[in-house]
Amino acid sequence: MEKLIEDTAARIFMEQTEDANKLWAALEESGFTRAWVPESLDGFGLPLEDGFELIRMSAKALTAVPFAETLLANYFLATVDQHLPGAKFTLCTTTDSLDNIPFADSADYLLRLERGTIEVWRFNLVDQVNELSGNRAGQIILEGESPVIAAAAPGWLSSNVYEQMGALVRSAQLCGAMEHILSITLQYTSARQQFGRSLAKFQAIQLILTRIAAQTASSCAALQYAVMTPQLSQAPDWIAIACAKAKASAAAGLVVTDAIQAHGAIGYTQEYMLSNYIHRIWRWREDFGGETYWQIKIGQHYTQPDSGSLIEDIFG
Amino acid sequence: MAVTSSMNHFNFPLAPSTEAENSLRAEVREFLQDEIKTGGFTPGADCWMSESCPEFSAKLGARGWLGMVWPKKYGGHERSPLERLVVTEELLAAGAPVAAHWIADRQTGTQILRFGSEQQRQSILPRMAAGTCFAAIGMSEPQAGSDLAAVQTKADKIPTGWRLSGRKIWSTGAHQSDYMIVLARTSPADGRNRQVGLSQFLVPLQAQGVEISGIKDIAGNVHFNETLFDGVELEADALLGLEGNGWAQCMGELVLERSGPERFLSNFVLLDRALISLRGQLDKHGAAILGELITTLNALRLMSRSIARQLENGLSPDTEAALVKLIGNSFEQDVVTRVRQLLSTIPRDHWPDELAPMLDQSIFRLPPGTLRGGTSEILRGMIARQLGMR
Repeated sequence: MEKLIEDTAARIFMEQTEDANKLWAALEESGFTRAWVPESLDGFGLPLEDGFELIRMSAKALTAVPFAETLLANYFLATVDQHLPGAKFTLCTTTDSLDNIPFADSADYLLRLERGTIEVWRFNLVDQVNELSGNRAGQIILEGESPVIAAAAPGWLSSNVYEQMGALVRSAQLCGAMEHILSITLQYTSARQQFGRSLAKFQAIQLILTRIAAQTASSCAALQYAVMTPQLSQAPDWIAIACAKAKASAAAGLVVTDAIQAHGAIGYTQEYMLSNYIHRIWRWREDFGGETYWQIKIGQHYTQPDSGSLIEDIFG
Repeated sequence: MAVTSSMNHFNFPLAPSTEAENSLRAEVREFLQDEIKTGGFTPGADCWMSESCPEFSAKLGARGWLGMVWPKKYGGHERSPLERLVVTEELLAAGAPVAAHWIADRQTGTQILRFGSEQQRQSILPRMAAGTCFAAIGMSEPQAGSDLAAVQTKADKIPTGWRLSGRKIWSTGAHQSDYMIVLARTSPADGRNRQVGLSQFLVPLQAQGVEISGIKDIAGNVHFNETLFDGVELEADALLGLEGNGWAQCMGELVLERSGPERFLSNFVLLDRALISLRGQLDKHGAAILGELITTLNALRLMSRSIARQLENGLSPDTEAALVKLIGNSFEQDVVTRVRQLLSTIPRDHWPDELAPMLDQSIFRLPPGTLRGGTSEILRGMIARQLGMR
């Protein structure tokens, strides 16, 4: 990613995170919500991997607006030459129910893919959102008889691709959250004194931190590769994405357990900042398929009667 | 809430594969398949430690697949670390008998290139690149395992060079090797700092006073050894690099030792063969278990390629290598456990012929994975230091 873009993003996420409206305005103004929309359609036209880097940064910053969802929705909308300026989006797959939709109280539209059609719906919140979910999930009902936009998706954009791109978005968020948890846990264990020295000096605590580091590093490696595999307006390499999401979802759960253990009871309180990451992780790891969902797909892929060889797929 | 700058503690930049690598890979793969077909070797688990065949090593040498990254004037081929990685990945994935030359090609040759005399480079490296000259590692001692700076082997200056006395242990392949790089004390420790006063020596193993005795492993096989140096007289140029610089040189050697794909591919051959038997046999639970192994393998491979790229760029990614070895060794043990569990649902007499011995080899040969080349505990210490905890 270009330094200028990275610096701008860092500044926006760092400075504006307290105020959701200001943050959204800054993200809109910077063009980041339209990062994957071609310049010909008034977008930023960034490569896919740059958009995923923005998503990873936003997760580290605990961004409380549907930035990642909107970035992806705008990408899908642009494939049918549509644009709803300034709108905030949420997403769901064909198998998701409508009773646990992220940003149910703040997104303007739901974008989904139904039988080859991109549908954009207005919706209403049925009940209170679950603030603890970290991205304000709640039950919604669709508004009106028909979507405000219904357009035939291009051939490459199948419901599988929709799900895979969603999974990749969540992988990037999980990686950002894990990286930040590693930093928080390092800071805490270095500062906290017990038995007359900092926790970080105990081998038992170092073991926990190296486990967090190992899980984080391997998840980030799988992500880095997976984000390079989709080309704009093409179906991605689903195995690379499946590997990234399965790894990040499984790793994030382990990282949370270890981070709480290293912190002690403070890590389990709502007040302490770790909780914000934990709530998000517990949601993101399930969205667009949890680890078992993707592990089964990978395992089945290599054990079909006619499956190709692992060596060729893994080593190229 | 504000972002506190979240540093990247580890660096694994992506290393996409090139056309040249892909065609090299195809060439190596074809050669290996031919060798298997014509009875050149039977695939084995943990082949880089346990499957030794000097004739096969010579064949690889003749093809230019040893000493790949060394200069041509010393018999090398001036290929990139990533090209070398392609070859080592394929050899490991095929379970080829590469143990004879593995250490010479991986680390000893490079140490000679870095620190040896011109005469040593010219006389030894071309033979190592040809797959006809082998080497062993002389680091651990009976009283110095993970605490390597506690080595008691000493080298004293004599008019003709050096006199070496002491014992090294766990030296894989020493009984079939021509040379060993020995870490020895050449002057006393500086108070508590024991890392000073150590030096590396390139010791010809046929020298007078060298006595090598095999140690049987848990399966009854001899691949590692104890080596006694009973006042071995060495020429002056046996000193490798600088006197007193042995610790730093040894750490550089350990980066080479730890950074390769053998730290997670030792039993890939078992996984690969088991997959064939498991076709159409797995329920969802079994598929998930297999899928989890493959996701970890995928991550390890990407990290390993990244390390090769960093070596290519002249960096020394020692902590990254430690991380890959740590994750990789644990992965290898998971492979044994998981494959054993998955195969248990299929009667053993339905397995293809080669699978049962391969599983048994893996069970017997993999336990030292988390010990050799630095224990997981030592690696965690390195990672903790990188994280600023030490």
